[in-house]
Amino acid sequence: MRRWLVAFCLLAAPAASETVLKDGDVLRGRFVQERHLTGFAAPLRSAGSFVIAPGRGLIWRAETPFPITTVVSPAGLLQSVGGTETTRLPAQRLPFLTRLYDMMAGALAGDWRALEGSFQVMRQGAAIKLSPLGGDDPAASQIAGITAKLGQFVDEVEIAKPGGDFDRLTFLDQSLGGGPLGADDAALLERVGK
Amino acid sequence: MRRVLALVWLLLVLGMGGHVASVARGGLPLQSDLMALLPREDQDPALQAAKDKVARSLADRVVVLIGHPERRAARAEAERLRQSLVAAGLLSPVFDIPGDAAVKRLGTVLFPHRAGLLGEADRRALLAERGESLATRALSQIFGFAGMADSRLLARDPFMLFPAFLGQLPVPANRLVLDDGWPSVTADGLTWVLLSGRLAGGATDLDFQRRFVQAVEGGAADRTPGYRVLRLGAVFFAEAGARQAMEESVRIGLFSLLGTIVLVVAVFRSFQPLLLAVAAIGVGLLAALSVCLAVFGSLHVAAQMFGASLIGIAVDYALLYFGQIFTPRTRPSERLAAVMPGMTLGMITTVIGYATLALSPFPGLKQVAVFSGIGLLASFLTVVLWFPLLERCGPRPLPPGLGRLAEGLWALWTERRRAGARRVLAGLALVLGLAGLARLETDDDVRRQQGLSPVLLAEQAEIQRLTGLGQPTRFFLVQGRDEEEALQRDEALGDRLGALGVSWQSPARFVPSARRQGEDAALVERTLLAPHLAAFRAQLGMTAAAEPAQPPGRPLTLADLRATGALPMLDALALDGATHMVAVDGAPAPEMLSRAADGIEGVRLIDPTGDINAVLHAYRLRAMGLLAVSAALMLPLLMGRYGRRGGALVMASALGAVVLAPLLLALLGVAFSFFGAMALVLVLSIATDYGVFAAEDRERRDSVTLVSVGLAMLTTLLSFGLLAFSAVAGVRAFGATMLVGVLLAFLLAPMGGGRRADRGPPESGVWSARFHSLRKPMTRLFVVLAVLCGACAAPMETPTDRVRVAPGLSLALPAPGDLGRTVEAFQMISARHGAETFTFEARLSVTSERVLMVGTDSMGRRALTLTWVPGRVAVERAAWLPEGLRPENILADMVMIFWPEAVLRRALDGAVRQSGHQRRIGDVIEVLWEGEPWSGTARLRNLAWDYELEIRSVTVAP
Repeated sequence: MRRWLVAFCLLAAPAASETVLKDGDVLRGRFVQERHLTGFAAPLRSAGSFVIAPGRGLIWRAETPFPITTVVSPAGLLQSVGGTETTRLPAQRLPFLTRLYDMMAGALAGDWRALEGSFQVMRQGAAIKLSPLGGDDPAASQIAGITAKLGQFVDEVEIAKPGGDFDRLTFLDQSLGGGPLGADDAALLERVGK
Repeated sequence: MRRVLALVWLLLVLGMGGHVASVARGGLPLQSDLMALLPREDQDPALQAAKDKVARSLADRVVVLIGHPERRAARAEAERLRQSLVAAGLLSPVFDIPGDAAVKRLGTVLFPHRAGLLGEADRRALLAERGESLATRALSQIFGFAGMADSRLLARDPFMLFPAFLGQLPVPANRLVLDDGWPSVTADGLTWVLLSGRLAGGATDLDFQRRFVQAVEGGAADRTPGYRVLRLGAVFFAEAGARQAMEESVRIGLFSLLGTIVLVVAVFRSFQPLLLAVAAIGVGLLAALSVCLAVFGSLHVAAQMFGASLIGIAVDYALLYFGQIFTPRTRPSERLAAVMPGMTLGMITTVIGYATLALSPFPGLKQVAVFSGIGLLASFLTVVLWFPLLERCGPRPLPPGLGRLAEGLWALWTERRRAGARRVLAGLALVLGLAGLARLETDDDVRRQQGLSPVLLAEQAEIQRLTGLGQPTRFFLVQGRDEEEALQRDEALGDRLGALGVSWQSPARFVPSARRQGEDAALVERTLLAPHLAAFRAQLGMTAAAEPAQPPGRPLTLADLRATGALPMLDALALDGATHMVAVDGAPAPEMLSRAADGIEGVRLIDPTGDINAVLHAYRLRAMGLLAVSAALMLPLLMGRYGRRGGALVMASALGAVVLAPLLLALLGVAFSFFGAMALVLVLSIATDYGVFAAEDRERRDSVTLVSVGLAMLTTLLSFGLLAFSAVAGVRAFGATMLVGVLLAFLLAPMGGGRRADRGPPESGVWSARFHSLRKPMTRLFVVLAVLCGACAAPMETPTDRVRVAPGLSLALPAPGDLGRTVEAFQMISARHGAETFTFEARLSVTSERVLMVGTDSMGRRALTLTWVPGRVAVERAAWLPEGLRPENILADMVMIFWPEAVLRRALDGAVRQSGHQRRIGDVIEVLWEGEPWSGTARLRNLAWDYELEIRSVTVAP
């Protein structure tokens, strides 16, 4: 979870462009996530859509192979399968979530300083590489490295883990604007803190 | 003899002083545990020890939350405070949130035992055969955003039950996150940083409290604005309570002390009464302390505090005595004699009142009874034995204002023409009483009585809101023969609590019993792994071999976990190998909690506040019951002395104050509590004293008595009534009850004892030296008791016209009207026969038709009522008076002293010579006057029969 959040800090980072997400903006798009786990014949692949509203949170809806919705907000994390809640982690129960959310929020606003404390950030053209500095930030300690390909937004992220597992996320059809959060999405974000 | 007794008493007092001093050298063995007031049979020593341990551990906890808009500033301040508290040796920090390293150690110890570790919710799901829900959860965590799955974990714990177990551990302060070493939470625009730990000293040590709180608050001045500090912990409440009590006792105490000094000195115009009253009270307290320490070994502070309130009663004796300086009596022994009966009866009734408290099984009330009873007796003896030797106050005129007030009160209760006013007052009391009854509420909740600092309560609530840390108000104690049994009982209780939707912390939440570890491993195997694992692996395409958890060599134990040091709260939960504490979050209804513990062996709900409330409730009921018993015991004594009606009225005046006080206070919205009930016990004693003092002098409507009682009332109000202005509700209730009760007691006091004249034993001559035995105080005491047992005799009539006044000399009684004037006088008469002297007092009323003389002996008993109409003398006298005392001789002596020379000459056939202030009758009787006969001192010496009279007279208004 931690590494995903760190990775996600990058998602909305308007790297090459001047586009900066600000409060009230809503970024929508589709994703494909592949989890390469040692001992598995094929990567665990899931796909779906996502919504990011800076300051309010993130909604991650996997459609295949299972309908899993994950909502992350400053209040915590909520996961449901087919509408049934399976996991609920208030921010208070999940150490570091608050700190990570800060980092994410910083990155969303184009502020890399929150990440620079724990990662070495290197830009190479349309790519960005983050290597953990080896400090005691637990968020960074479980990540071997992050590589992101940047377009107008982040197009692809690969997160390597110390055990040899890695996750690859590909983002498609991203668009900024398209109106405010729908009532359903707003309600989902609200539910996390309840 | 009196000096010998006084000396004996002095030696005894010195001895008791030495005893107390020797015990106090090692610190007075004071007990402050309210539970110690409970009957012993209710207490189980093992349980008590466990409760004490929990109480100590709770009392030692301290939490400070520091908030600032800037994270860095909040952390810096927390660090500064931690360093200063640790450096001053005031705090040992304890971290409520396991740090990273601690979590790693925890994981290392727990992981090998994962097969037997199931989270509560997972266990319930599996018991309900809902294994597929856990499989779905695992899938969502693997495929969903932010999944915690990695290949190593999935191979060893495919359904990720272990992270679920870790995630549900009931760690305190669960709303905080560890931010770079500091437990923190951000809320309301502030970053809050938590500093928690254990006190390095005792939370009940006043000096430590002060230093600790000062150290926490001390930094406030150095802080830049914007900081907020929230505090949680018994030490803060204790310090605030002590500070408030100190401030209050200084303020109220000073006012009370000054008020009392001013009052006593202004009324008596002398410091002697004040000093001697203090001596009487001091000796009382010293004796009470000494006897209590000898009998009980230790003293409960509650008993001491309540017992100390006997100051309010002890001062009555001293003031009653000193009221006598407003009478013509100048000799201390006369003064004592005048108040002795009232004081004795007052003391006996009060001691009876306290003795009934000793009948209760409550050890606290026993101590109160012994402390108060002994204290009062000692104060009484001090007044009786020392005052006459030490006191040197000349007579003083009664301040006329006070006299008029007293007369007004007497008139209200004794005059026929005021019957209407009395009826109106009775009606008013009835109406107000009934209205109060309708509004009467009882309140035994110690939290409302304690006067806890509202500021600290608000801070505590905010800390709870921000961090989840609270001050547990109720908990369970779980006892077993060994750790395993205690853990099993934790689990049995936990199952019930879980079903009730209560969240709880118990050692078994961290380390299940060996039995449950085995059961859970089997449950997982049967309901999850066997039916779902193969399909789950296929769904994920897992090809690597599963690494099922190997059963560990032995079950996980609490010692394994405690050794990691990762969970400091475990030390508070596992009190010893076989005794656990189970804490519950929030404040669920106590009935629900006690139902949860029902029927589980070794499990008890401990509700410290509830226990105290129950003690207070029981004590309140008990005190009221005992109040009724002591009233019932006092009544026969009062009736024996004042007759049925008079005794009943004295009791009614006291009970009137006792009953009306809480009802009137109810009208003002003051609920009736334990503290009010304890005040009523005092009010009954004080009111009975007042009633008795007034009853003794009702016949004479003696203003001095009511003034003395009024003074006693005022000093009691100054010492206890002022507590009505305390900020602590319990103290306020005590003070308000005293204020209203004692005031009512004073106003109602003159109500009773009215028929004494009909019942009083008559007395014959009081001139006789045969009374000498009555001069000894102890003898008098026994005589009083004998009288109370009902000695009385029939009236008799003595037709007489000539009285022999000396060998060969007789006096023909003149007519009462021959005096030539009417006289209403009060007389102090000292009679000496041989080496013995006896003093008594008389009320004399002379009109043209009759002479009425009422004599009271030194005990204050009506010894003699003498009615002389022309040609006939009617006498009522006490049966126990020696036959040799002849009333006609009393009359003859009065005539020889007071009747005009011409009348006397006729009566004595001319054997009278008078010159100036001297009169000689025959050769053997001599009369001398100093000043006017009716407002000075007259002396009669009968050389033939060797007796001498000294009569001091004061005329009074008819």
